[in-house]
Amino acid sequence: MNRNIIFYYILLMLLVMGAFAAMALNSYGVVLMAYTMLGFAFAFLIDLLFVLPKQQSMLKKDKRMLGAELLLLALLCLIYFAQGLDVRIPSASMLVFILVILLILLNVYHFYQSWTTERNAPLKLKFAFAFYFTAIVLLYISNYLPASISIVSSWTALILIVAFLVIGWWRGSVLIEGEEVTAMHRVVRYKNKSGIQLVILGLVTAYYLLSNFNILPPLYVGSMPNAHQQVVREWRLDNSKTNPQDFELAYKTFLRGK
Amino acid sequence: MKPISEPNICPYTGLRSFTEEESLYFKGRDEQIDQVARLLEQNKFLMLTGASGEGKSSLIYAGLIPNARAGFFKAKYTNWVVTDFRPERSPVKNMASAVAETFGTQPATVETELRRGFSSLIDLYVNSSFYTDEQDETWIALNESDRKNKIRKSANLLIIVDQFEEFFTNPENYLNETPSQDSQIVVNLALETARIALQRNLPVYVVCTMRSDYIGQCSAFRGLPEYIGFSQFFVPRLKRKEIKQVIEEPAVLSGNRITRRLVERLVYDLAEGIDQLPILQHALRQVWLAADEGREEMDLIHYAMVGGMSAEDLPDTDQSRYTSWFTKLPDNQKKFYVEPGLNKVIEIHASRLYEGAWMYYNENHPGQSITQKDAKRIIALTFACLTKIDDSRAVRNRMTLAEITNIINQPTITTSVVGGVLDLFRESSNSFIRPYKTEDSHTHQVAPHSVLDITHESLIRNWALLNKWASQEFEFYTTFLDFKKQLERWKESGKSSGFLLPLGPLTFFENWYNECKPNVYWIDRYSELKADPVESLKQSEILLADTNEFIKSSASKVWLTRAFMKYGARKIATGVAISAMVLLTLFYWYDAQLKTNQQVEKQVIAKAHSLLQSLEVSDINKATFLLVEERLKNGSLMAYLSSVSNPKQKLELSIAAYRLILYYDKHATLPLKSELIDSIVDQLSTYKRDNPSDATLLLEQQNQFVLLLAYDEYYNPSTRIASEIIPGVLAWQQEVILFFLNNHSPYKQIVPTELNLAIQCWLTFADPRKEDIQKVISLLTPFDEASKKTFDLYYVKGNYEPNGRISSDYNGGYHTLAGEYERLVKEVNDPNERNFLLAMHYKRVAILYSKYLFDRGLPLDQTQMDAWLDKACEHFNQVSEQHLSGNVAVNYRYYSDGTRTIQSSRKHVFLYPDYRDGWFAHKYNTDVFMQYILRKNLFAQYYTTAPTLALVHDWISSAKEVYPRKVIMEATGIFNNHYELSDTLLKEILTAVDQSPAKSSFDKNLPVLLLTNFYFSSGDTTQAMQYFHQLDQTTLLASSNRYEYLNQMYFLNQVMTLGGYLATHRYHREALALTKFMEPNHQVFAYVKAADQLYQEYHPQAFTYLDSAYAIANRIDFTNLPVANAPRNDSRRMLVYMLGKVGGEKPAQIARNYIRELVEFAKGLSIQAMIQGTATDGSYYKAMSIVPDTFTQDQELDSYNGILALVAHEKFNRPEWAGMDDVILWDYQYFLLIAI
Repeated sequence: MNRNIIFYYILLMLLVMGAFAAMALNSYGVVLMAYTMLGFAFAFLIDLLFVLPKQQSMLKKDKRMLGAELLLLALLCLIYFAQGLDVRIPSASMLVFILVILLILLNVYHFYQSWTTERNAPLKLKFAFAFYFTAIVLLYISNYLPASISIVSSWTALILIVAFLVIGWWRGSVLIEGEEVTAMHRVVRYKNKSGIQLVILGLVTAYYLLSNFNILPPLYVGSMPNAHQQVVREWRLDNSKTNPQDFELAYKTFLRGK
Repeated sequence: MKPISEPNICPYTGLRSFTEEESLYFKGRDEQIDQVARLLEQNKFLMLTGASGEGKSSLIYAGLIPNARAGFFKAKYTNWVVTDFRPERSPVKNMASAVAETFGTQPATVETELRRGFSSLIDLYVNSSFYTDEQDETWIALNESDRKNKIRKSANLLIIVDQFEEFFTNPENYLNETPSQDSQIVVNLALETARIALQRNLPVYVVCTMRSDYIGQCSAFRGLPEYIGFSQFFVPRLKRKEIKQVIEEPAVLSGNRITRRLVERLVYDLAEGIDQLPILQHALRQVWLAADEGREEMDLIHYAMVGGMSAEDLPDTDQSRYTSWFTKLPDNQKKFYVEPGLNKVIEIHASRLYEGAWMYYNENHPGQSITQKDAKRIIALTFACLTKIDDSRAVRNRMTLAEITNIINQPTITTSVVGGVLDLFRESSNSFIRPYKTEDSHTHQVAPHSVLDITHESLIRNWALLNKWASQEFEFYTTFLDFKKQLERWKESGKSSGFLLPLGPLTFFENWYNECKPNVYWIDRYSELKADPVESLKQSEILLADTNEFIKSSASKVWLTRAFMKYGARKIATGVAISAMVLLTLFYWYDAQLKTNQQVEKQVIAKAHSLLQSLEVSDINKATFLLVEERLKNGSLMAYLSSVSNPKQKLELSIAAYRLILYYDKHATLPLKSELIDSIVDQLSTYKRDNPSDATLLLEQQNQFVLLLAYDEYYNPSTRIASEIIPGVLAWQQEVILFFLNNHSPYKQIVPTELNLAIQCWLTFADPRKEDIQKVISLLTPFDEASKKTFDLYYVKGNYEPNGRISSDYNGGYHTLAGEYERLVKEVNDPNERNFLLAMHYKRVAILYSKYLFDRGLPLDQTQMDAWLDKACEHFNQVSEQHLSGNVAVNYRYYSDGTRTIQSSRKHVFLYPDYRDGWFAHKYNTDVFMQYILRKNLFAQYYTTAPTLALVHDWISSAKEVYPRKVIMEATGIFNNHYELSDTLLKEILTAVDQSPAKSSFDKNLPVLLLTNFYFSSGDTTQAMQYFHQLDQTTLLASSNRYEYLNQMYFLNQVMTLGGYLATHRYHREALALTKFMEPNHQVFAYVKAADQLYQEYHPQAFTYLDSAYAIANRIDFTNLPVANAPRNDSRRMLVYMLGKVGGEKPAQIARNYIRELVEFAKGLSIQAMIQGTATDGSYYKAMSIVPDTFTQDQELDSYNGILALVAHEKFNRPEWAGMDDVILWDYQYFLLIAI
């Protein structure tokens, strides 16, 4: 699975680059991000179809779980790709919601598996795993929480990531059977895609929080009104405000045929 | 098997040789012991050779010596003293120490003696108490008893040089096929001692033990081969029977038990080859330990437990026990039992220690734990240090603990840690490294200077890992030798780049460097300067520094080539791609930073500053920017003005800024205003009034300044302005007036107007002395021949203002005032006219005084008001109807800054609820008259007819009107009136109208519209909708058309505002119906207004209204509109504004398309609208980038002012600057629907 790691690095870099291009008011920034999501979808599908079947050392159950995870992630990326290119998919938000729920469940399963595998590990290591997976779950659900709670959960997730990095990398080496290991070593060896999920969700959330504090500018989306992000922000704070989808639909209806 | 309760002695030594004390268990060599003894008896010298591990040392220590002491050796004395030593790296020192210990003297003294001559050892012996010379006189003199005592104390001397091969294996002793001096001394001493002993028949014997494979090298020592040929014994291999003895008899003798089947199995397993005896001894010791230290009878199961045989070969009865034991073994140790065998016992034992050393250390050093990795590294490096390859043979190499620790060279790993880890290998049960750990507590810790040594070389050969480490260490060493050659060449060439390592060798040596990690101590280990350790270490340091430099320099030379070779094109391409993306990301990040609103604000300010230098830009635009900047950065305006070097520009900018402050807020109390006034006064004080080049500037600027001061003082009473500043400036102005009246040469077209204004201001505000006035008149009068030229120059009949539009006969006012004065002083004899004029007078006094009080913020004296208005009505009531019906000329407002004269009946002039005659009658003043009428219930009395009600209607439309402030202020300086007409009064008027007989003639739409908007704005939607339903929508067009010019524009704006309110309150049907009466161009305005209001809430319906506006605009043929030449009235401008506000790629494109269609002036306005719209939505960068290169500098600065005003509004939305927001953003709040 690690053979594709360079590809993932490039995609992550493209994603960040696209985001900054969009922040610099370039309409192709979001398009670049959309195609990056397509790249991610391809990467996950390649892993699913060509790499996973060759994993001899994995248990069948683990293979099935990983296969499901790859499929869900690929679907999620394809939906975001379409949305980035302004292609409307019926019930996209519901579909995304279902995919996210399934991915959360998979991550909970990964956590359970790590916890039981490392049952004899020092508490420090187990805490690091707990921080790691809780962060992923929090990052996922933050999108579906009311804004005031979402900000708290997003910050919590980022703090957990930092705590994981501190324990898991910097100050967390523990002796297990004479080997000096850290939680980071263990996580890097995971065959699942929790790492990529954590990185992407972490980046998105960090951007969301930083842009809320005006540290980073909003993403410029050429196909959307300038106020779109403000509408999204206000709606997240107060559901009685204009629904961004209605706003977007009205805007596109206005532009149709012009 | 019956367990034995008491622990037994272990009769097996493991890898170490037998000692003299253990001779009881030394079995199987009886015959060889006798042979060796006979040879030594006869020759006094013996070279005992044999293969490694054949028991040479044991044969001497546990065979020969005990036998000799037991009397089985024919010698002179019965006592024996043994001097034994190993050459190691200091043979003379070691020999001296051993001899000194034997003879009870100091080692240093002995060493000196030994170096003196080769017979010194014999001399020491014969002169010692151990030797008795029976020829000596003292002996002869002794009695028998003393002789017996002397003989009893005498002893034979046995000198043992163990491990003789160390003369060849240590470079200190033997280098380049040449023995060292110390080696030669020791060998010669041994040989000479033996020769003299034989010659003089002294009881001195010399025995050397040496591995047989070094026999060839003995020829390096002169005389040694002869001695070997003379007396040598080769230790033979044990026979099967003797091996059984070696196994069985020690067990029996020590009280242990061993099964016959184990004995048979061991004999069977003992293969041919070297090291069989150490392997056997080690295996037996391990079996004894496995058998609970001999408490159990040693059997096959114990043999299997130490890895000597496979569990499958065990009897069935032992299988389960073995399995149970094996299951409990740690996983990392089970793997060693894969291929068991007698030859594997050492391997398994050593490897298990290797794996478990970290745990052993951590258990014995709680709180100082180390990792397994560190422990393994310590063990590996230690054993690598304790072995070396000599002539393709792995041999032992003794080193001190400190030397080993230095080579490990890790800050956290001290001698204590290294010693602690190695303790496991020194345990008596393991005995792999000397010195062993015994019951003596002194042996429990190894001192840093203690010499460590591998017990037996068989360990090197039988422990694969150690063998590997030794081989690797040897490889490191040989590579180092190669490297040194290259390094020397490079240094000899003066470190020339031509002698640097090429890619292949560099990679090879780098790999060596990275794996070996050589340090000073490692290099020093192989130093040839063993005689001087300090110098050796110093040279090693230099060598290491050179090594690092050489590799680094070589690597720098070939970095590019090796990068390609190392990573390959694919990885490099990926790296380049990622690097490029990182760079691009950084660029975008930087770009995004530049495009943030904060950065754009700075950029816009910088651009605006550059435009301040331009002569093409109007002062008012410059002043606007300076004030906006002042709002953003307190103190910037005065700082800028002080930096302006051109005094004219500075004065004009200062006055323009002062004017703008008053435009924005006539009650402005900003400290900046006072600073500006003082600054202007200071600037004016520096001018000379009689300088022709400055006269026009002073005339014009002082006029403006005085008018502004007077205006300011009116609204903001100030003694200083009134009594100091204005008179002061007018005193200067008087000089300028006189200058112009005396000098005609600096004439400009503007001078007559400004001169007349200056005289008026001077007369009005300066309270001039009579003689001064007379002086001016004398210079101006047309009746004097000399002054007539001046009069004709400045007071021309048929003249116009410089703009050519306004008539300026005799420059207007001065003469008009004179005419009025003449008329007023005339006596009025007609009582009707007199009463009418008095009625108008009292009404005028009441209105103007109430306005004066309002403007100055003073309380209204209602009693005084009523008294004046009572008198006014009293006089009005006395005027006859006929006289009232007569017309008089009154001023009527004409557009914004003009008036026209209309004929109106006296009755209507009086009943108009405001002041409507005189010079400045076009302005709305107060509601004080209407308040009085309603309070005194006079409405039904006076307003009974349609024309009189129309006066009220007209007054309302003027009273609530919002002036087109920006345009008008900039053009004329007319200021807004904040005197509001209240909703309460409007409702009272509506009630009063309803009671009027002519009520049907009164068009209620305007007041109802005003009230509806009022309630919407105050949030009372219910009330608002109640009034909305009172609106007669069928007559809206007629209502609109009843007004002209500004009043109509005001009415339409009210309708549009209502449309916006209805839309935002979701009354879309009503909103759409409301605007149906409008012409299409106005409908576009209305829809944009509604869209704008909805968009402020981000309501999706905003796009529906925008779409409607777009659709209507597309149907309009703008070229045929009557207002086509009025760009401000072109609704496309507002569409562009709104599209800019919405943003996005496509709306921007639509807006650009509109702009392209517009005529030039409208194009400019629309671009500014788009800039403003885009900036309103917060995208200042996008707004800034819209500013086209084709803009004039004035337009450009105006655009920047618009952006910066929004920035300032966002940042400092405070009441003192509210006026600025109103003025600058006015264009997009109030629509000019009629051509200007």
